[in-house]
Amino acid sequence: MSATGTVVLDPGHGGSVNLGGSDANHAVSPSGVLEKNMTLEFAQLVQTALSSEADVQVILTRTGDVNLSLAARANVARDSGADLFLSIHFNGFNGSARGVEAFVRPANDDNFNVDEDKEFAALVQKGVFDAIQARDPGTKDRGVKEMKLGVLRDSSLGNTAANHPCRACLLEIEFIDVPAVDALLNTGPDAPAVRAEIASAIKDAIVAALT
Amino acid sequence: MRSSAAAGYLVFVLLLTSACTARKASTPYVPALANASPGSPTARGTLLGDYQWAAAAPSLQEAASRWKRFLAVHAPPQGEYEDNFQKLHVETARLELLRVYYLLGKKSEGDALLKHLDPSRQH
Repeated sequence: MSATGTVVLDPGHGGSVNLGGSDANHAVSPSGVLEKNMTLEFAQLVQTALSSEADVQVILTRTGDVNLSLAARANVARDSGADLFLSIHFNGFNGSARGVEAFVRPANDDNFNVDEDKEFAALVQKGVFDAIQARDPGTKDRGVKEMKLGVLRDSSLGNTAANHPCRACLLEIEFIDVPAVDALLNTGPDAPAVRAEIASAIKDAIVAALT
Repeated sequence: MRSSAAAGYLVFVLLLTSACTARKASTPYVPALANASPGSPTARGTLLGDYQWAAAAPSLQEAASRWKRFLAVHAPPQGEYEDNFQKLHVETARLELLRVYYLLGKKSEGDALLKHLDPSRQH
């Protein structure tokens, strides 16, 4: 059985102005790479990886360096009747925290299909964690958590209590303010290969979710 | 005579207390949690830039002012976050401000913020 459906990939942040709950950029790597550029590149890599799936339609919320409000990003899923919505982000904190984590919106707060969201999030999070761990055992499995995230509002994604076809989660791929992660994803000799492996893992998770 | 001595003593105590408070306010600030990430400082006006600015406050008094300003600008309304990066930084800012309030002896402000951090109020 082949994968069938529509997936919306949402590269977090973008542009130079904060807009409707979406900041232009958050994390910055030690070598100066901005999170907004990494999210766009990874979304495009996943889109390319999914091009081999004839029955999977891929839509990006942005294809250039522009910002969209959180509601506008989720509305792309609503307007396209998407089956999956994946918001891609990178983390950053104190230069030493590590790990891969995914988030879904809590059930008691504008989310009608939290269990389905968690299944999708677990597929993506585990796939990305395994891909990174194969290259760097220093990463950490932070699992799937609940958080009140603006981009995951069911009312913006088009889900209702009676009809909730869109599964949604937000992925924090790694903490890019850690020098080892910066080398792994941006500056090291294997960085292009590692990025492709992570994109492939996300593609596999999406295909599994749509099969 | 005795009441005059008592009043003098009271003034002395008040002046001493005032002087101690002033010294506390100017005490150099060293963050307990808000360690700066590696890399270049980021521009003010961004979440990370404002966070770095608050964490680099030269004194306790200035730290209280800067963390309050950071939270006024970057803490989301109704606690609806954009991503975990924002949540990590906003929650750390609240803990830093709480610590600074107690170090400054501002118990009522500290207790008010502590109630805001009550886990039973959060999802």
